[in-house]
Amino acid sequence: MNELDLFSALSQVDDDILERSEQAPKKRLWLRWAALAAGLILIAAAVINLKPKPNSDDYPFSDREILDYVSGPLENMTVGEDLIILNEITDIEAYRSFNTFRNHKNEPYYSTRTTAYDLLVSSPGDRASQISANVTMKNGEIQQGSPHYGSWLTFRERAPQASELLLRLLPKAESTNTRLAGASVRYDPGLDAAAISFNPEANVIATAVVSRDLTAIDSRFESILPILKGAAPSLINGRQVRVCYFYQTRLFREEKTEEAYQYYVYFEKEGFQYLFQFSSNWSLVGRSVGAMDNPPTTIQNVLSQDQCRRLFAQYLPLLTQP
Amino acid sequence: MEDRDIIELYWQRDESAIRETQTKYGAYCYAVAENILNSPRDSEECLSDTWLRAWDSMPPQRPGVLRLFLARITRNLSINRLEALSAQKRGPGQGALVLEELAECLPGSEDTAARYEARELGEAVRRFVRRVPERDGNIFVRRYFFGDPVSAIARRYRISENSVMVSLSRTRSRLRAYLVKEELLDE
Repeated sequence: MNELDLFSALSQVDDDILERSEQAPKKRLWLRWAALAAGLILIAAAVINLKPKPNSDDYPFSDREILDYVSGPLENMTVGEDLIILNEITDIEAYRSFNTFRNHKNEPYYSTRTTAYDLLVSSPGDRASQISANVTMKNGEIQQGSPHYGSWLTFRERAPQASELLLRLLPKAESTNTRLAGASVRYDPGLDAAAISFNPEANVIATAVVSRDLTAIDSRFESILPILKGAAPSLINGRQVRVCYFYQTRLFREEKTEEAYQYYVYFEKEGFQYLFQFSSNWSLVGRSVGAMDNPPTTIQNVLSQDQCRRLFAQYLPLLTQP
Repeated sequence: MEDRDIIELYWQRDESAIRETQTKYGAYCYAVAENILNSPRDSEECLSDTWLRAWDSMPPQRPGVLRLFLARITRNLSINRLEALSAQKRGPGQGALVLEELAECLPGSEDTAARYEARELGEAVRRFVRRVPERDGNIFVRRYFFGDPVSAIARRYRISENSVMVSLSRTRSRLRAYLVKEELLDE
């Protein structure tokens, strides 16, 4: 996150707040009445709040709020000449035990977006010895002017598998994302594990973790690895990989409003385990827009789930490129 | 023409919708772009893109407040352009100052990882602004949404420039604390 991301994020301030800021300041005479009215409103609000609500008025839900996991079967897909078998993860409890935000337990708040990257970052290792950097790419090159360029060079040296993977994947993000392609990298020497994270599109997240033993990073990998290893394999660039996915929806007042997929690719290469996670953006069901507020009349353009899946497919050959 | 009539023109795919929008909100959107970019040529180009984006967005969208809907589009386009300009080291005015100020909300040594959705950050900021006291919230929004200069905010709310700066500084500190609490920033 940088200051430009923060500046962009302010675009989501609600209309009523923006309208309020446009109004002329109230005269002092009005302040007394306003204070009186505010007091009455507070009392009224307090009374209203005593009544139990069927659901929160906040919309959309935060990623850390309660979601629904349901089945969302997908057909296999073809990438180049390779048939990709998409294995649906149906063991919800096992998935939840992996897919939990940092120190949170499963219920009632859990994240859909916890990634292997997060698990590495939050692992109780020696933080001082960890190498981390945020880099940007332009014209296929990591920009040397970045304040973390020195850390990136160290990362390249210490984690060659993960850095080579990033250098294969990030140019793709640069070609599809209109903004500068940025990435975060992390290496933990104690665990000899490295992770990369970037945004293929503004609201799409891709991460990868490379390690000789992923379970050494966090025991939560023990929940997901048997699922991934037991999935029907696909061949990409002649390498065996397991491609799995998990479908999620958000419910608002008992209506399914938004959906997203988590895709996982697992493979082993030269004694290293690779776990790539691709988190699609949330979108209204079957549409290429996402809701922004409550009621969801203001919407933003995002990728539809089909578009996200096609984008995911474009990364598959790059993952296993010789 | 009323906003709802303009929106209806968009929905009927009547190209006069763009003309009516330009007439009614051209100056308003131009001010948004110019505050960020400080470059008449770039601001004009952002405006042209805004009308096209509005045409592409309606339908399916039916905005509640048309001028704010347009302002958001202009703002986003201006930010994209500001990013490109910054990359070329062409220093724009107010936008660059605003970014410098917002940088105070972030850790100095290390960015937070890019693993969070842009929208998750947006939602957090949206929730934060709702919690800020009205006067501070108004000042914050004028500065960091509309990109108003400090002097213009002071005039608008009939307060001193110093009061504006104190309010902005206080709200930035609160924002930083809030983002840490939301685990979007490291302490």
